[in-house]
Amino acid sequence: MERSVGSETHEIAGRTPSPEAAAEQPLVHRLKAGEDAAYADLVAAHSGRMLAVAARICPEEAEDVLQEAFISAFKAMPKFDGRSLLGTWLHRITVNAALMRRRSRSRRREVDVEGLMPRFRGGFFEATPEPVPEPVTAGGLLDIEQKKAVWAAIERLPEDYRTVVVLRDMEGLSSSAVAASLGVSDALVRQRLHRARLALTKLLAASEFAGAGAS
Amino acid sequence: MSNPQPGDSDFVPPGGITCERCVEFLLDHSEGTLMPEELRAFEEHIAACPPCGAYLANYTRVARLAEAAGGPSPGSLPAPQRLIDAILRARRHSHG
Repeated sequence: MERSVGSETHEIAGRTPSPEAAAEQPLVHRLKAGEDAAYADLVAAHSGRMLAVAARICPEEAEDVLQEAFISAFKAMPKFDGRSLLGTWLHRITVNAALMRRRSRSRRREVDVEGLMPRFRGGFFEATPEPVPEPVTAGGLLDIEQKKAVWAAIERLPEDYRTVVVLRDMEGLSSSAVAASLGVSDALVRQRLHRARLALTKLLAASEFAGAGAS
Repeated sequence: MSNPQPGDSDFVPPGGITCERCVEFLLDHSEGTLMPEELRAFEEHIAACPPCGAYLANYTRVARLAEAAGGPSPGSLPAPQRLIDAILRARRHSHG
């Protein structure tokens, strides 16, 4: 499941805006003018998706995250430069708000990713790696304990890696959309995702996930 | 007589690639972006190398677990009206 929002990135200044971006311009002008009805339209149009994003990352406090995200967006609206669609911009703000909320809730013990990379001798594995347990679930869904265990492992990743896993694997964005969102190259996004997954194979094989309803 | 092992002078790695190279291919393999020659080498290596086969299974499972640890698809949860009202109230208060 990969959802690309790359096509939603639209340069406004110096280029002809895409039809989607052009269609948003009247709303953007009303927002910048501080029109109450425009803000009501913005919240009505985007709050559902933003709440779902917040719930993915911070399920216990999704509504608080949504409020914080909108307050941040309202403050930042005068600086909104139209480089992305409003929905893309709000998505990025929501992800940041949710990640910040999670950080403030728990003192994470970040791991050194380098120490979790596979070890080779002369380019070859010395032993078969420990398996990541396959959960027995209904319809491919994880129960709450399994989700917590997966999250606990993801939260131990350094922030740069964790953010990529959240956006790529959990939010389903394409690498190019993640790169645009974070302001880094596609290649760096892919490198971080690859190393994060390698690290997670060790973290999940060794975690309580094995005892959290998994077989 | 046992088969040649890594380090032996007559050892030929499965698929002609090392385990380290095989692991480097995992992301491209998961996205279907390996070149045909790389894919052939990868598949031959995986078929003959139990540690890499186990690593591939782990890598695939981790990506699936991260996806499954999310929640409902974005957009599937309408925000409650009381929450929308609270957000708009907060904006009005902050603007006096």
